[in-house]
Amino acid sequence: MSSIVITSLSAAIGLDIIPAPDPLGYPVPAWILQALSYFTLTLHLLAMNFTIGGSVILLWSMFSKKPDNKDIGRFFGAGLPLGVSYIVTLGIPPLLFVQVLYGQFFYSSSVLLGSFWIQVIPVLLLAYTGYYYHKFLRDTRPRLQWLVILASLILLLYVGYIYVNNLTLAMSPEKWSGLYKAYPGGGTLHHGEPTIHSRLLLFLSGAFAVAGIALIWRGAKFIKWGWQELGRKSQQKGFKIFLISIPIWIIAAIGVYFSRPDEISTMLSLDNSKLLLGIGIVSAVFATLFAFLAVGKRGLIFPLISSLGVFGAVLSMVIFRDTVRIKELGPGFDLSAIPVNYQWGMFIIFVVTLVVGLAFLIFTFVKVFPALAEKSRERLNKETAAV
Amino acid sequence: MDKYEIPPDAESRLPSNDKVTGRAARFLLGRYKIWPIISHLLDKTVPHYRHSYWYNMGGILLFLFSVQVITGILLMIYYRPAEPWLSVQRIVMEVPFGNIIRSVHHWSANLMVLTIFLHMFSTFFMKAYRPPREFTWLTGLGLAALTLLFGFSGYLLPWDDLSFFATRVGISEIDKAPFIGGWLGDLARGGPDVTLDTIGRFYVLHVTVLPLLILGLISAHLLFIQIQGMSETDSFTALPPEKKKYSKFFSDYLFGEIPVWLALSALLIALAAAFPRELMPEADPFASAPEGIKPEWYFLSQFQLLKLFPGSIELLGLVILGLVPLSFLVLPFIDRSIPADSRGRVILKLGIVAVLGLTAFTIWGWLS
Amino acid sequence: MNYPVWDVPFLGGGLVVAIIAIIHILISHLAIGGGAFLFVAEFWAKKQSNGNLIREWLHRYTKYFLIYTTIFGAITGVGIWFSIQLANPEATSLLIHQFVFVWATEWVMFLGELTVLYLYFYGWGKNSQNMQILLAGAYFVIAWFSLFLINGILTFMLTPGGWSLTDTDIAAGFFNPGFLPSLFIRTLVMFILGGIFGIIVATRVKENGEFRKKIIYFCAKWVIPAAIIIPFLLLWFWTTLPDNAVTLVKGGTVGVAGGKLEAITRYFWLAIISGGLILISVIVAVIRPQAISTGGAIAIFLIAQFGIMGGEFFREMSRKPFVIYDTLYSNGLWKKNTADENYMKSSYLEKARWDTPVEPLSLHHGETIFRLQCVGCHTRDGYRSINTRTADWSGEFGYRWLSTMHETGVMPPFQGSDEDRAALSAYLISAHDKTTTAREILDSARKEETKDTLSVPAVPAENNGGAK
Repeated sequence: MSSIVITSLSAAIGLDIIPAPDPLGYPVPAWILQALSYFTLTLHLLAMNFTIGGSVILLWSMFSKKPDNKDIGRFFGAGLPLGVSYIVTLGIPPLLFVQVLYGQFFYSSSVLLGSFWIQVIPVLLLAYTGYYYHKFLRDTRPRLQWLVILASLILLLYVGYIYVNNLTLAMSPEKWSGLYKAYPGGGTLHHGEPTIHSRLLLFLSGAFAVAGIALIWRGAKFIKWGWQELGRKSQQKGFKIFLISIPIWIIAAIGVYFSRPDEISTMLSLDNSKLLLGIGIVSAVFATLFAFLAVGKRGLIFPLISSLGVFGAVLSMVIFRDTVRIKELGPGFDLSAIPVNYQWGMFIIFVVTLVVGLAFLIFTFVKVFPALAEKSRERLNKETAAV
Repeated sequence: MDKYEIPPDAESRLPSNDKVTGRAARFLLGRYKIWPIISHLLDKTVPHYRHSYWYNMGGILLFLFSVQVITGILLMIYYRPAEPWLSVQRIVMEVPFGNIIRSVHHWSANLMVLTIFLHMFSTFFMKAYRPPREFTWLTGLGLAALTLLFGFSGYLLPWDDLSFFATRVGISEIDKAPFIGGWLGDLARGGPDVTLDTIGRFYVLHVTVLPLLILGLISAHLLFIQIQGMSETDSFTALPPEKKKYSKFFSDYLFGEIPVWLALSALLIALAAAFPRELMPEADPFASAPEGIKPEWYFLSQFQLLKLFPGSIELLGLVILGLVPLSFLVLPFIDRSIPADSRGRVILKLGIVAVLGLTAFTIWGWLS
Repeated sequence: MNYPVWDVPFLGGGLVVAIIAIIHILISHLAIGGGAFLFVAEFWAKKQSNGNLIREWLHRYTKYFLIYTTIFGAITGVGIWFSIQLANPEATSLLIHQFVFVWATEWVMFLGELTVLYLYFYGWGKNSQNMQILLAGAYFVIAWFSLFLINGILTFMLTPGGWSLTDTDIAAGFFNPGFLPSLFIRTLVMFILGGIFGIIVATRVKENGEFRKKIIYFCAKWVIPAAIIIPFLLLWFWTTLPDNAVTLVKGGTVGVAGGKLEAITRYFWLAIISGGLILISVIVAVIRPQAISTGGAIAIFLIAQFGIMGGEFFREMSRKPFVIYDTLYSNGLWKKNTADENYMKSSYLEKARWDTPVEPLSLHHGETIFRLQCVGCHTRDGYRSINTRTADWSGEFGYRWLSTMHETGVMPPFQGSDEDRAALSAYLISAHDKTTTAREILDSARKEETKDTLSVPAVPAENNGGAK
């Protein structure tokens, strides 16, 4: 099966059914678009991981009797709506760039998916509402909150499932004809794609790592504010949770391997595979090591390096996936062959806006953080005094 | 003879004489001794609690009725009962804004029927029909019946395929009534068939007879309400005095209703924009009825119910159908207890069954 | 034909875009107007004696505002993207490739306004007054710039201005003739919405005397002047509209086929009348501030939703039959190809990438043409129903009409051979149980043509034209 797939993919580029790339071409050389896409997609995936991991932990905490776990649950319960909003906001640039780079594939698969693709919208609305319902009404309406969180979590997982269907179908033009014949107006999932579930799991594998690191950051803050024991416990819990990601990742990777062994061999045959593997492994090691080292310490440098490690690991996977994708689309698909109609002016405006914008946001965040911190401290004081 | 004296308590409650409203009020009261009425109206309050929004229904009905009168009068300028379809075609195709006016008239009619059901059932569930308000309820039922008649008579007037056959089917149900059915049907149609003579009757009904009747009943209905004041539910009455909040009808409550009416106007224009009323081809009495011809949605439940009793048992169907309005008529005389007793609670539950049944039959009629 | 066509029964893909979009416009315009509102209100609160009470009301405003705009605003915004990808991938691809960094810059604005709003809300009570004012102001400026950017792209679709496929000048396309009037109109609409939202929140204040009056007067100042100015801006916008749209609206106060007004006219009047109703309702609120209930205030907000529905439908319909004016028709036909007679008359299915093998002149042939050329705008018996429009058609009539439908001004020219036309006509009339086959239509039409060539050729035969 796998070898048939790889050869027909190469031939697939000759398929008449694939729409021509957009006549307008690119506004800047493709590598800039790819770099931006990799960077922003990684951020989006980290936000997603935080939310999924946080939801699972919150759910678990609702059934735990220990007050420590309840605290951790409250921490995530407050943060999950923000998690969702950043998933959506950070998801915009990758969606933009995938349309620029792979538009002819992505639109085709989206229309084939049809109503499944548009379902993402009402599903997201419901999930988002669920998280806010929990955050603002968890104390006044405590009944069945676990059901609300469980439902929201399942809805978000469904969104991920739809996305994996779409993106894998986008890269399988040899399947389009058959699906189009059966569903000429759209409305089908990507049937017969062996990697869907393992790929979804791979995306989710960072969930506990990111949620765990969040707890480590939280712990460091507590220690800084004088709650040594509370902080330490948060960090220990965080590290333990972080470790859960590792077996999940291994299972997911094995799953992808067994459903598409040729993808792995393609991956390993790429020019930059050693570099990417190196970055990935080193990042993962640093992430784990510094998560471990962070326990008991007030310094923010430890969770920072650990976070950068997770970022690096996810980034390397993102780049790997894209390079494999380009290779598999075969010799007919050549990003550098797309005409470039330079829009340096608009690009510079974007870069300047981004830099200025980020600077402004960091500036205001730093200015406002003491106020937010004071609120957290006050709340904690009240809660620990009540105990 | 000189002007009348302004009563002393009026002096204190009226706006001062340097305001226009004050001078106008004194001008009026000097000529017409109506201060008792005015002071009674000024005292009118509306209870303010979580069910208060239902009190808006009456005002909404009055508003929708006014829309019908205004759009109806405008349509009457161009409508010709001798050439019904052509005149309506002219209205929608040539007369400036005729199209919008006609669509608004259609949608306002539908909203009015819907609101009458909402108003009837909300007053039912709030048990507002109990003594001393029996005649408010009865006049209300009369208004509901007149509204449905308005709908039925107006539906025929464009004389297109849809209106012709729906009317023919509708009146044929009247034919089925025992003894007087055939006679009543002929009276409605102006003969054995639906013809332009039917238009003559329906038109006169729609623009003269029914308006006179409905204005009379509305006046009576409003008069009773003004005299007796707003009814309060048992739950409101049971509240301790300090929790009972009221707002003044003139003019706080009235002003509060205005945005709702304005939103309804916007809704009507939006409905006219998104779902304009079409004009089907002119009625052809010799053609066969379009397949699956149905009456308008507010008659669907009755239509569907009667379909369950075909042929020889159709009399039974008519009897059952007749029981529903009959039970509504006798309601104020069988459920009189304030606060509600066990009989009252049973009747409430029966009301829920009625609402569910009505909805279910309407949906069933729509789908079949 | 470059892409498959999304077939949504009853609604049609375009209507799905419309429904998501009009909800999004209400929320997004409120989001920006609310930002301005918060900024000015913070200043105003500073000057008032009961500033604390006012700021408490503002806190409540912000909470509802945050939930409403972040959940529904963000998701429906993404919803527009999802739905336009599905409804018209070709046009979306053009816009994306032309304006990718405009959108990327707009994204920076989204990130900014979201983060600043969170800092504003979650820092409440602890942030200094000046910080709050800074954050509110920053939120408004950032959010307004996101409108500035999307406004360029949106108005480009209707009035591309100096942009063309041969000269893809992004500045000319972005700063097109419709840009400024649209920008000003939308900004004023935002102020109106911010004010109405303020009235809604004011009705939740328990105190019902002087304080509520003061807040409602403050809110009314956001609505009434803007509502009065907008009609003049609309006149300006009117001058930028394509001739086609103007003709339709002007001629459209009376009915066209089917006894209905042209849709564009109906929605135009909906927008105008709704605006007037908002003005009246807010004047009522000013006359009797204590009388407005929450339900009443929400009713005013609903009028705004209807007005937006009218305005946005009107704007979109002004563009018919194009999706990018004078460049790309809504069904994927490029205007530049219409000049090439051979291209237009060659077999459609051979040009279409997404087709299934058909037997020529069969009903399946006609259905495939219908799906690829017509379903982008029409449904069979739902929105803009084709069945209703072809109820009186004969096969021959349809065959002739299809060749001249572009003369109505709202339809693209037909792409395809005579066989394609005959097949499509046969398919369309089959919905009304008419059984004329495509072959019969073609033969009868060919006979007519030979008859005409044999008769006096000087005068073009009248029965070969379109519908009269």
